[in-house]
Amino acid sequence: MITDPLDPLARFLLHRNDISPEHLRARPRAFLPDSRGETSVFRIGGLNDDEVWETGRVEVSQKRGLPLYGRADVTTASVAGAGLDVQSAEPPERHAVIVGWPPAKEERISLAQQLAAEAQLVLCSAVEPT
Amino acid sequence: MSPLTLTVSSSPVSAYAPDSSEGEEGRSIHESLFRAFGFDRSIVRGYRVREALSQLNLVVEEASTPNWDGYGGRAIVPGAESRAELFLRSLPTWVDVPEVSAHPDGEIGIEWYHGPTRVLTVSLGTEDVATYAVLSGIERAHGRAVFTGTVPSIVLFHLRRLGARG
Repeated sequence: MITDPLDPLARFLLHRNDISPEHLRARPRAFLPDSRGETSVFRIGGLNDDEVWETGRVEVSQKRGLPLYGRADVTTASVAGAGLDVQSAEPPERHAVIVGWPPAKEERISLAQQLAAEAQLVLCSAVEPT
Repeated sequence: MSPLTLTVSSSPVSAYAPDSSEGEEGRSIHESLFRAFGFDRSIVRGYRVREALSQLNLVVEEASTPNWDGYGGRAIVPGAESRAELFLRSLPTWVDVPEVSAHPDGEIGIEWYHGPTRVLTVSLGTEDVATYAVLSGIERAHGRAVFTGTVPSIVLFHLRRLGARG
């Protein structure tokens, strides 16, 4: 998959614990990989804000049956800077996964902290984090 | 040593009144009993521990079934809750209240978050190990330390550096 290094990737946040309400930032745990060693994201470059939220609602929130609290946007360059990779995982359209996570949990947490530090939190107006 | 009497009271603080004549042994028994019953001498600490334990209970409830996070997250693994509780109860009084959350691998995360570049995360699961990672400015550190009831000194070291004081 060829992407611009500055292409934004959205990690849709489905759990209130993914967000620090005090700091209005995504927490590191939001980026930790699943059991397959993947962190699900969507490439949102070229989409307007409404289209991004529509993607989150339809492809993530509704399919998983969980509320959408917000999203954490990172760039492909940030992911690469952490020594990780982004791979296309379509369908659905624009779906991708962050891969290359190390096997050691402490290293995964450390990289998740790094990604969270560089991520831009965008709250979903429909749901306020508690 | 005088005979030891355990006073049952609704107030853990007032209940803790070791007689000086009991000596070290009596004091030690008192401490053990109060720990066993979940009591503590410090009122401030008591509030903080309760706050953190309340978070822990909520997290365990929310993450008790597979796919609790919508991304295939594993349910809380055996031993994680008890270790997390022990960890929270073992924190020194100078440490502020951490945030508790579930991790996708079923471990429980305990986190001090002081901003995007000042964060310490400890993860507890099925083993007597505290897995930790800290981000402090541009510095990063991570590792594993034995945890069987005493907060690892390396974690306390990073907490002091992070300024995670209550």
